[in-house]
Amino acid sequence: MAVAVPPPAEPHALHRAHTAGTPLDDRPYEPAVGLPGAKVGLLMFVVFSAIYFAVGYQTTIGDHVVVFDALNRLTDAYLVWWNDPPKLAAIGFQFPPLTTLAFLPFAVVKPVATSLVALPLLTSMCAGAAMVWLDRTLARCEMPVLFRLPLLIAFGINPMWAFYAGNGMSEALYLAMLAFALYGFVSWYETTEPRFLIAAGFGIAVLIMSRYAFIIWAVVMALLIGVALVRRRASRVEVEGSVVAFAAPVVYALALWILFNALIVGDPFGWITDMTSTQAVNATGIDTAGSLGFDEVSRRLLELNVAVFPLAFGVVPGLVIAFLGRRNDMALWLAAFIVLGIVIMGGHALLAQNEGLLTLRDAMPMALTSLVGAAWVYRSYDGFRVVIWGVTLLLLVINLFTAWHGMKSYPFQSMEQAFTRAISTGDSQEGTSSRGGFTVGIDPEAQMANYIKGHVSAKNAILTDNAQTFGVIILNGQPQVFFDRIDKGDEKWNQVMDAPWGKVGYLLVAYNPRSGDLIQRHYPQLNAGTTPGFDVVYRTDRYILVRVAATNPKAASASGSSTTTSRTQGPTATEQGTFAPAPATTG
Amino acid sequence: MQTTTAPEPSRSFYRRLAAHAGLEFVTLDPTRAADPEYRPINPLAARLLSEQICRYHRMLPVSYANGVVTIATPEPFDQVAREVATALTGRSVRFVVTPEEDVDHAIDATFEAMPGEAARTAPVTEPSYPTRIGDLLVARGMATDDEVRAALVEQERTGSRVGDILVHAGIIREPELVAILAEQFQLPLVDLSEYEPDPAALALIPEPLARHLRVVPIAVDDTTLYLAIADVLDDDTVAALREHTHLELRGFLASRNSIDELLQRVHGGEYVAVAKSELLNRFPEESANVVVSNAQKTFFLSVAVIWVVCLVFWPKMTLIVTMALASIFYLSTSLYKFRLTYDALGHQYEVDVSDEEVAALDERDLPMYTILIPLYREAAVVPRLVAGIGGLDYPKTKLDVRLLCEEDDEETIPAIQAMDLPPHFKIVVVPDAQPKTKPKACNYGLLQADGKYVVIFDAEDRPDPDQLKKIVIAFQKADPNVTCIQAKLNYFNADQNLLTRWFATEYSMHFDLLLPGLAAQDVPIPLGGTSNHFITDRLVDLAAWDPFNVTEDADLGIRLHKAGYKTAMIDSTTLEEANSELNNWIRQRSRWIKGYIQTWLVHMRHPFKLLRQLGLKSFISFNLTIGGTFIFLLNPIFWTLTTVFFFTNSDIIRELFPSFIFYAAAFQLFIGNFVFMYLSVAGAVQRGYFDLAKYALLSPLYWGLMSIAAWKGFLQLFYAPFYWEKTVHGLDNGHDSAPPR
Repeated sequence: MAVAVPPPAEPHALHRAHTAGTPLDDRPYEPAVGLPGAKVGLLMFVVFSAIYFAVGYQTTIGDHVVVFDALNRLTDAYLVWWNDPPKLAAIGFQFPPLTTLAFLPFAVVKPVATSLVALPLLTSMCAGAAMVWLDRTLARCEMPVLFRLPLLIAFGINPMWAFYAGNGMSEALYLAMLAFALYGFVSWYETTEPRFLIAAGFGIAVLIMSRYAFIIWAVVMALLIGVALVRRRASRVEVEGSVVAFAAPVVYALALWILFNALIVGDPFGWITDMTSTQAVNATGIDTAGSLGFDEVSRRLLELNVAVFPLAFGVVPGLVIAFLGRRNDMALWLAAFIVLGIVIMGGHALLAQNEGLLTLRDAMPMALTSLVGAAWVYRSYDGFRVVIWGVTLLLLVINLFTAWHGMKSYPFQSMEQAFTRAISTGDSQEGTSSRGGFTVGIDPEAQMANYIKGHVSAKNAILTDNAQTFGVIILNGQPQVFFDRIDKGDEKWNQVMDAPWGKVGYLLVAYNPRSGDLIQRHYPQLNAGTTPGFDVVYRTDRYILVRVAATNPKAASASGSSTTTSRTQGPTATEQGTFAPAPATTG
Repeated sequence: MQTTTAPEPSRSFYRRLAAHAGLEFVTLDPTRAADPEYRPINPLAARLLSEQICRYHRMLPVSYANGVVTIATPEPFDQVAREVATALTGRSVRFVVTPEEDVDHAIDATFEAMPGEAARTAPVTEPSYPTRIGDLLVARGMATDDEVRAALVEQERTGSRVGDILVHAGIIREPELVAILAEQFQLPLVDLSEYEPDPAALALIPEPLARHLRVVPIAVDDTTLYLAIADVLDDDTVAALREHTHLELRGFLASRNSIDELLQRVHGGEYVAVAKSELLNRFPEESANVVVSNAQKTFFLSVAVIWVVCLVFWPKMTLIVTMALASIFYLSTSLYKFRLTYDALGHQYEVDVSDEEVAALDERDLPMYTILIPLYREAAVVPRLVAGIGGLDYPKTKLDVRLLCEEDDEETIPAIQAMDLPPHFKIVVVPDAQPKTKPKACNYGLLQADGKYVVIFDAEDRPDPDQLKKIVIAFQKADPNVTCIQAKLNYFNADQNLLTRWFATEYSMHFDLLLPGLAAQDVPIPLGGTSNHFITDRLVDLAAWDPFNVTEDADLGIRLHKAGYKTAMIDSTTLEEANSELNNWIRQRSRWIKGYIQTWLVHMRHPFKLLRQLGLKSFISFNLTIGGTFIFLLNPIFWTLTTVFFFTNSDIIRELFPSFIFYAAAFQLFIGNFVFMYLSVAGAVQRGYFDLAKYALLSPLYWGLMSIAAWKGFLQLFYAPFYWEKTVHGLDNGHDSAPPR
């Protein structure tokens, strides 16, 4: 019997804790450009965030270009911590909750929220993070730092991007998550490491919680992952496992949201509405009536394309050619995302017959995806990289001007025009009007907040529809003074609204009929001062504070003795610190 | 080849010759004992070559140390002599230069020849080959030429001795080899199987030294101590023995295994005492022989009394504070584990050993490796175990596999004996004594471990074939303080049922993400049950495993860190059998959780001292990982409160969770649980176990089972703290070793 040399270890018998899945590209991933390190990323984050914060602070706080959607989310977050009692339900179940959740860490510090600093603070950080993720994605596409920086600067100083990076809106947050998800997606495609797929899934799940429309993107992405793996002859379990890994957080986030809506609101699918923005109290209205045809939508989309993402004009054909010529699935996917984004916007407007849905800000995901698409085209054509980079930079520079022009002139927007005015003149925009049908500024809210702060301090003294008067609440900073819809739920709140006498001392009402204030609707004559038992004690351009009689005057007159609230004597609570109904006078 | 004596040259000539050859010059003349060049002769080493060979080649072995035989010769360039010495001793040789007359006199003295002219003029005849072991075996018909040639090839590759190679290959038996060696070295042979050593002889050499040197004093008379030896005594051994006796030493060859068995037979009682009490005697504060110390009892009772008093006088506030503390602890534990696992997801924290490095390893440099395999009533898995060990890519001659069986195991011991295993498998029968635990058996087996490194495998384990080689390389590359390298564990029967799938996803996350994350943070690592590879000497210094702790592995990981050592991870996997039967799983898991609580209690006996020993970071980590076990006890409470609240909207429950506590709890419930579930998915997918991804989504149900086991283990801590819930193996329905796809 011979002494045999032990057989070498069979590779398949070994087990690795770090595996790679089926390659998705013909070309092996051998990057010539390394990913930027943590310090570079941190530096980039700090620099961009600081710049965006400075711009955002000046325009939002200094020049009063406050978008009320952002103010609403910040107020919700504030009420989560500081409502009396604090309620998680304050995050609301109508709008995507992520922005409110993202404001929570800032809203826990009262002055940060009530001074509105939280608005530029949150979005500047999100935009800074988005730039870091974009930088990594570009590096993953083998773009050296000297090529990346000019593109990132040209993209980052785009006025649309700069506006949303500092105004507290949800755009910066979801665009950061989109950048993160795209980075995960591109990285997974390049390296086939499952952890990047997981990152992409996580990013998309968070993205959906900030913008429901991305559910369609998630479905398409899951489909594309499966198709790509099948095309590459991956095993069934790998296809299944990969799709599960990607889709699990998306499904979980949606399931949880449906459950919350079912348990708390009673309507599991009530959130699937067209509600993407607040019916703002500062809205003056815009004409979107009339039937909307394909031609009008196409024209508007083209305008948006030029204004917000002209890069797509070059990128989409480049990606399609890359897919056809190089069997490059990622190229098709990125092109599909851009086209899909356009189709969703147009389809949405057509179905809703609402041209107002074709807003500038809704086109921003395509701008970001186009930049990633450009990087992918750059990565796909080794021999033309300088040309592709040059064209990309040129289009981004052109976009600076088209965006500025679009912000000034495009009809459906969220105060982009006011932002351009603030930037170009440096003047406060308080009281001016902005395209999209808004009156700029928060002085009416600040004045009412100050008045209340000086005259009312009793707990639950003011009945108000916080969905409309959030601006006053946050600037006042004392949620305990307000008896709002969060405190004890809509049912109890409606009961008090029906018969407020003796239960609250005041009503705070946004009297602009467009605002949809429930108290205003219930008592439409409040503003005129002709409703018995209600006296307007303070008025600003948007709000009235109405004193409520201690007893129902109609009931009193029906019983032969009418009871009214004194017009001259306020509630004793104002001075004494506790609320007690004013003494009734007999008339 | 020298046949006549040369004229006597001067000593200075030989000094110059030595310098020219780059060798050491020595003198063997006892009259020059004060001379720094004087080299005393180890008589046992001198016997490594026969008188005939010594005279013919005019050389004499003078010492034997560290596997190298030093040979004195006046002709340092005689390559034939060098090759003969190498072949006949079977060891590396080193020449030193000595004058011709010195070596002749030394040969005379060593072999007791008559000094003087008679001896010098005696004819020196050419030695009668064969005297090489291979030739002897062929001459005796015990091996063929081809087999010996193949063994020589392997010797060239691995550096092992030809005789050992042939024994491990099953060509000859160990007693036959010993007989041939005795013949070759002209040493007497002794059969120890039924030999009862003389107690007077045993008393001369302390047991630890005898165990360390692998010698057994078997008899003694007025002038001589007779020793059973497994190899020719080297200089260090002789020197060590000389510290205890000045009697002449005379060795009798016996097989290594028979010496081990005799040592066990003679010193079994002492071995058990050491295995059971070494830690307790040397580091009593580290032993879990007492579950809760008196100080801890006082502390816990005081806290309980204060809590009850508060509950009576301020029930709502007391419950709120309790809930708040529980929520904070829960959240902290979850966030810490999330951080560790998330970091590990994006990094490779394991010691990096490439396939190329493994392939480039020179097997001659590989050290002896001890594998401890505790067995209890597991006869059925022994054949698979033997096959698994056989599949290891490591020279069998450098393996020291110790099958640790309990004395009362009438099933496994006969089964092993009947298998006629190769000599690197050694059966170690652990005498029956309490506590009858795996760590005690391991301690017992460690006492005779030959390896530079030692590892524990379970009976059903299937380590990656190159794991031992990777570990050897990893120890060379790692920080010098690294004393333990933990390989990863996973399951070969993951696809058996839902329970095994959950188990596999849990292990994928634990070993692929959590433990590497801990290693990267340089904080204590609770070691896994098997496949933890140690530097043997350091393990012995630490008093090895705590026989009273039912998760002795986790405990040892903490003690390693406290002693200033480190644990590293390696990307090599051992596949085990996942528990596929629910009751069996709960028993196993309850033991693990009980052990973790034991470990926490032991090391928290002196929390401030522990803080000083570990540092703040490691102290917090210890409390969040080992102490984090308590969250399995908390889970059912929180789940019940949540469920009741959802269905009843109870104000009482609402009042227990003021807003900030509620937010923390809600975050943990809705986000934290999902994140951990998703990390389970990540762990499975990261490892390529795509099939398990969807099952990982059902992990919360698995956590429910964990809580059941946690409460069972926790309660058992009060009435049976040292009871070892034995896991039944062999329930895998004959799954092969293919990992889940």
